[in-house]
Amino acid sequence: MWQRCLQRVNDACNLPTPPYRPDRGTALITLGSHRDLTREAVEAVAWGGDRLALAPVALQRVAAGQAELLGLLAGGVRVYSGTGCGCPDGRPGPPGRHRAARYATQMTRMPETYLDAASTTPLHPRARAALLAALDEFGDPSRLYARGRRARLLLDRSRERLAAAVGAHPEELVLTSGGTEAANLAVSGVARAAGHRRHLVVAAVEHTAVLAPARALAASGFEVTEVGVDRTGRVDPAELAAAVRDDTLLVCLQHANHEVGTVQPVREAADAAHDRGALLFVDACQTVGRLPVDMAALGADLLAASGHKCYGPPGSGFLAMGGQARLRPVLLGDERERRRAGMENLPGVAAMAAAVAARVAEAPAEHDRLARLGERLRHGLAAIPEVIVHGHPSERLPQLVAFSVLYVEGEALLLLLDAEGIAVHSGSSCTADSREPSHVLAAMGAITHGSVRVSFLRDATGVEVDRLLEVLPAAVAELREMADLDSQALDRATLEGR
Amino acid sequence: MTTTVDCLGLSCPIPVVRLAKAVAAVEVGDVVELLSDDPGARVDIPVWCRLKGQELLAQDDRPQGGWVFRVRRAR
Repeated sequence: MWQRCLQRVNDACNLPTPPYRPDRGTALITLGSHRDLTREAVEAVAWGGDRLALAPVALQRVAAGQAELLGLLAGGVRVYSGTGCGCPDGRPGPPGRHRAARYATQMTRMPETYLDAASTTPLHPRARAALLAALDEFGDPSRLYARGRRARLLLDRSRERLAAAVGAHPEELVLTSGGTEAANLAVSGVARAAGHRRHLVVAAVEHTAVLAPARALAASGFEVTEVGVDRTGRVDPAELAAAVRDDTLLVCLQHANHEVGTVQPVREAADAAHDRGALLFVDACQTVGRLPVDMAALGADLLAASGHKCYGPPGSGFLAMGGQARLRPVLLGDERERRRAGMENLPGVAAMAAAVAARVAEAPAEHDRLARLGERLRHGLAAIPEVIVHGHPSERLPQLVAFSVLYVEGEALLLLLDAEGIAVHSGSSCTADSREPSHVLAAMGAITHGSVRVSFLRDATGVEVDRLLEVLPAAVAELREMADLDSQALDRATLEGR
Repeated sequence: MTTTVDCLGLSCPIPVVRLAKAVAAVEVGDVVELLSDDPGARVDIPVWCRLKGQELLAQDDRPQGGWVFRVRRAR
């Protein structure tokens, strides 16, 4: 049964070297195997096969890969490394020492090197204290009795701290469930209040929380102009200014890009927008608590921030508005926040306010240390063949380094690093579920496969960089070997030429 | 002379890997024709050509879906 099933895998694969080789009784499911077949192959082996060579990337492709692989291991199936199995003599990797096996069995035991601060951050100690204190202080801030007034006091104090952190007025700050809601409210809410102005300008590299509502508006009668970026991911202020029209309602430009860390010319964009009577919305989710963020200095009319990206709790964020901005709520109901219905997340808000206040105070002293770590990593990456570092050489977030490793699948590299306890983000989405390449890298004209984003936590020391640079070269070499990218088989001039 | 590399059904980075190998295997001036239906390849093949100084002659839609890339080995 399992042989017949694997034969079916071969037939469908369209590969010069089919994954299943009956003479060896081994199926090599590895990089480049057909998207939909990994699960089938794993099931085939589970039904009666005794050997399965499973590349780490295949793990990702099996929807419930961990459970099934653990089942295989428990059932005595020997799992071999993809490396070795791909060799002409079919020599298997060492049984029981396979990375996939380690991946499956050591998921929680490995000491962790967390290098994905741009995705989310742990709670700041002050945020944690504020959260715990507020958790027991239940009460509806809209009620007039003493408990309600205490809740209102905490809410107002938190709102004031948040407003002060970004140079906004407390009354002009809408508390939201996070950065995504804040960005949606900015784009959709301003559009709902629009008069004759029916045109939006957005940077092509905005977060999807901005692009998706903008594109939804484009489908309902608004016109949207997407402004491109240069190879460093930066918007050309002149090109953006040229896109702004007399009927432009809103210009959307992020403070810094979430994938490559490039800081955008926000001040210039503000001038271009204001010259034509348009508003500027700045997505500052990556910069609040990292770089100085001031509504007036940036020229922002609306500004979105996220709690959990700034050492606050998930489920908290805000949209700050300048005096000129008018919007109508997206979430309808009561009038608590006036522009957003629903009971405020008081513990979340109090904790976010504590985190943002602490981070705004601490960040300047950390900037140079984090920038030096970034430099150290860039220097180390230069020693690995065929690695391209993304982003702007000077206008960038200090703690973020993004790069692409040519000829390597990003998710595979992510999983190899994870097997060593290192957490990074891969921007490429070449998984079975989403095969669309990163819209940011595509807009930059950068290689989208093999992309990795490393972002340091506030207390990073350099141990993290050393650990990554210790593991990365071998992981890259292993994956290139699995892709049968034998350096001797290739013309080095072609492979390494620039 | 034209060499055809069929990467239909294969995800990135395999189309780029196969292209790199095929281009390395042909003479300067020869053309490699790559078939791919991976959305990542549509971005990465032209970028690879630019990075490696190889000449992307054409990128056409296939009626059956996906694209045909024609790359001439320039160096």
